[in-house]
Amino acid sequence: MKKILIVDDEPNIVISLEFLMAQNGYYVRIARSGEEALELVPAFMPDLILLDVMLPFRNGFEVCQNIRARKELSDIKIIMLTAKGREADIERGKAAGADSYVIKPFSTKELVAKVRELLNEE
Amino acid sequence: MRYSVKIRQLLFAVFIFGMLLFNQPILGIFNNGTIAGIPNLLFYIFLIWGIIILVMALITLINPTKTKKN
Amino acid sequence: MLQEWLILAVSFIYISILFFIAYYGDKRADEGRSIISNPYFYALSLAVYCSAWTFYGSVGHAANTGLSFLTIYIGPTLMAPLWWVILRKMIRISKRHHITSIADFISSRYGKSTVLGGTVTVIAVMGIVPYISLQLKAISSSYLIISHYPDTLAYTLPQHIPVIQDTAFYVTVVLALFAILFGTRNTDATERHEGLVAAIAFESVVKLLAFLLVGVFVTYTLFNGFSDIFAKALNDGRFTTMFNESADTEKGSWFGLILISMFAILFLPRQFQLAVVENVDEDHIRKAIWLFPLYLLIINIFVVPIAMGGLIHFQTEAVDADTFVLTLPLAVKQTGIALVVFIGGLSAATGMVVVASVALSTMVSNDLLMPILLGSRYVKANREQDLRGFLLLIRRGTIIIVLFLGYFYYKLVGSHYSLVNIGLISFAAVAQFAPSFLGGMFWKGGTRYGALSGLLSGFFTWGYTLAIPSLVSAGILPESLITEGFLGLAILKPTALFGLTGLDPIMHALFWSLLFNTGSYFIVSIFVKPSAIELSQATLFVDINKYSPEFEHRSLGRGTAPVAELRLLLRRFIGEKKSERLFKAYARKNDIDLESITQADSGMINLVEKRLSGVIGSASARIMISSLVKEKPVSLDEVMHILDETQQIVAYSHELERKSSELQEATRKLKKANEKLKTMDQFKDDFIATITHELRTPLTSVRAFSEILYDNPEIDVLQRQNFLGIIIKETERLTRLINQILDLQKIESQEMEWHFNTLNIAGLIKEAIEGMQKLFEEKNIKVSFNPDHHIMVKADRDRLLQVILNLLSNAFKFCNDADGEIVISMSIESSNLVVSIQDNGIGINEADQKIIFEKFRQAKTSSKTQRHAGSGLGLSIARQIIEAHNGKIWVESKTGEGAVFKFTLPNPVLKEQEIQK
Repeated sequence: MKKILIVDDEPNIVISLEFLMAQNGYYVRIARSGEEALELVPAFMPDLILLDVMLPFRNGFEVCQNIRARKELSDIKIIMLTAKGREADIERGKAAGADSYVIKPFSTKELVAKVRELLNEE
Repeated sequence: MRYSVKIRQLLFAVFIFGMLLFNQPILGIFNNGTIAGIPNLLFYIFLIWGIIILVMALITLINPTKTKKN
Repeated sequence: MLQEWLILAVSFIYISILFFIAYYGDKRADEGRSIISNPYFYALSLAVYCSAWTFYGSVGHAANTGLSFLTIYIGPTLMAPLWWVILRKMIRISKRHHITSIADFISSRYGKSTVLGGTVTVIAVMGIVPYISLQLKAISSSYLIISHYPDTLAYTLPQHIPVIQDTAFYVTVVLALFAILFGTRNTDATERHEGLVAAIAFESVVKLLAFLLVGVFVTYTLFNGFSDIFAKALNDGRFTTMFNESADTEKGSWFGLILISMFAILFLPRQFQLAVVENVDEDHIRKAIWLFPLYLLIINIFVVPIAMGGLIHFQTEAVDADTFVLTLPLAVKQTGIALVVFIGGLSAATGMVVVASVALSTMVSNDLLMPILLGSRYVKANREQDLRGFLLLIRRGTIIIVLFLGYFYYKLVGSHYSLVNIGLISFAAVAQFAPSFLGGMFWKGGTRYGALSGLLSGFFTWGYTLAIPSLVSAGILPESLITEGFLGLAILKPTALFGLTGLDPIMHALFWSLLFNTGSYFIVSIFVKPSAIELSQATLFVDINKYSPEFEHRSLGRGTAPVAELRLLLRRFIGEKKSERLFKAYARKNDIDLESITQADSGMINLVEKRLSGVIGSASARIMISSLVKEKPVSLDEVMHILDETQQIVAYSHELERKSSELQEATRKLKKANEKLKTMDQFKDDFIATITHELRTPLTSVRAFSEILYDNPEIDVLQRQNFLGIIIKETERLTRLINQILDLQKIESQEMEWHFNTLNIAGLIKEAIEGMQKLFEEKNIKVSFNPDHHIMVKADRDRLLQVILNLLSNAFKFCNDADGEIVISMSIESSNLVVSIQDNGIGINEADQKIIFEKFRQAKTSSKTQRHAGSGLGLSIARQIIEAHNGKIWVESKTGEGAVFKFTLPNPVLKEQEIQK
């Protein structure tokens, strides 16, 4: 069972993502801030992280960079989620080392498909 | 050019104030008594004198770098 | 014991040092490496103002009449700030017109008049010769005192010493030698005497140090500091009125002395020489404005202590107070200090004498003798002869004549007067230059006859009321002239002219002379029409900044002259080398082939005349040029026309300059505006990005849950209800956000309609609390609001409610979960209603306290909390609303200690009736 970490501070979005991922057979854990995510990642060792950009204190870019800087975590896939759809933001996400970039609001089907694709299922 | 006008006006003000401060009736105030053992009038004149010199020195410091251009 | 040979040896060494410095200064100037070209040398050279009068006389004056000696130094201090305008203009005019003396300045200004130049010269010589004699007197009496020590200190000058034994005579000879060597090296008086200036600056240092030495010695060795001297002086009944200027001011002399010394610092020939002619860079004025007054202040600090010290020390002994500086050290056998003082006095006196004699000799030769000699048959007959040697001879001769005039005045009258009185007579004489000099510089209407009548009437009045009485008291004229008046007419008494009594003689003379002088200058100027050349000179002087030198050369032409004649003329006065250089430079600049043209244009003529002015004075130069030039008579109208034209050209170039600087300014402003626009653009960009974010967040939940519900019809009822509830909440959030944006937009674009009514604020707050009661209860938060009085304010009810609700819900959100508490209170502070809403939540750090009122800014809060629901617009709207009510809103908080939001509303009315509890 693949493991997914959801990092977002919007409770309702977290609920929806949690439902979606659980429904598709993933083991899910939640972090509500960048700090929390960075604490969780080494212990939980998720296969994929759904990472919101607008997080308190440490935004998603920083968290992403931080994870990418650590060799032992290099296998983890990261999908960045953002409500800011500007080109510059997407570029920044890619530069930070994200595997994919999804703009809110997202299609649940597409998101699930992207997750599967990154996890090499199908 | 503007700084020059400003200096001119400030210096003229120094002249007017100096004229007033170094003449009657103000001098009459200091006719008697001493400050720190020095007669009031003498003390007053040298004090004002020193202040005027200091003020002029400060005024003429305004923007000294630009003078070469004009 | 002071041996005479020792005094002479020291004096000789000192004079040798002066010679060396002057020689070195000249040498450096010749090499192009000036040592005096800095403001400090300039300010020090101006201190030639402090002559023997200052060095010995101030103490005497202070001992005899109190503090009025200070006016002589206060006057120049007050003139210093005006230098910025006056002295600068004097320098500019003089440089441009090759002016080398006051006589030349006045003569040139009023149409290059020989008569005026001569008049000014005569006044200057008559006025300054007594002053020179004063210095000679000071040197010789100080020498006699120091060389007769320890015989007697109360040494008075013997009435008749044979010239051959007279120290003053030898001093005069040495000074004449020095002045000739370093003041007349060159025929061209506009060329500066750098060696001379260096020596004068050195002398200023020496006299200052010497005076400070004796000052410190008297104050701290003979006595125990200032307060000791003054305590002893004030105990002595003789001095009580000394520190009281009422006696002076009654006679108006305090103000008069300030005025007269203000003129002196500008118009004494030696001051003009050093401040204007020897000036290297007009920007040196900037520092001299305060450095020179500072010098004056320092040299005066010990005058009164020395005077008091002398009076106390010598008590009834008949020691001349003018000699205290010297006799006090001698009285306690401090011969070393006395010798230093003697050298200091020597430096003060020699500095003045040398510069004054050089300045006077320039005047006498250029403005008095030259116009006469140049017309002589001898000069005219030998057209090829080099006149440089002749000129130098005249200059040097004049120096000797001027110095010996001073010497003879000293022999004749000098012993009857104190140092200060002689000095003041000179001051009064040069004050006569003030009306026509200053008038000529700032008023185009002043004319030659106006200036002449002003100078003559002022001078005659000066002579009648000051010089004649001084000759009477010297026993040269009969006593009856003073007591009974001229021709026995009481109304013409020299010291009480027209029955004016009650003034001291100097003030009396100053009043009448300046009255007649100024009066006739203005009246005659107004009624007598000026000639063309007067008018053009007037314009060129007064509007010096409006004309550029090139325009002057070209435009004010008066016909033509043979080039060969001009070359010959100039060669006679400045030598072949310099003359040819000048012509070649002019030819190169104007593209003229010197060899091919025969007739010089007006530009060349003017150039030669200006150059010649520097050597022989403007009036003489004009005489020489006029004899060569076939002059077309120029009408007044023509002169005015030419002047107008050149002025227009200059004005045009000024205009261009102004335009281009305006353009620069505009570019700069545009750049700034552009940058501002850019930041505004950036701001708008951020604003839109934030709004997008805020809108997309609830939309994300709505879409996600809708799709989940759509894709999973089998989902259980409880969960379905839960998800639908979230969708509804998020939709409400969207609606709220859109409303807030609209609100904000309305307020900012000032489209909001406000309905102001008188409200009971306590009622409004209660209403708000009631509206949220349920929420509070759910979270178990204690809310307290216990007002004592009803307070009425004018406000928009709905908007204010919105603010209060916003603040309450903020407090609610941030309250501690366990024991939340909100305290609301209101009060009146300095006629403002203050409402405060306090929570016990996590608090807001200082950095965030300001930004939370900005759009879309939420506090970052503390680490463990998450972002709080809310758009970030609420507080921004609250601020806009409160500001629309002319109130203020702010927050006081510390992290971890809760926050107090406060807002004010103006003009509250307190209702007397208390609230029932």
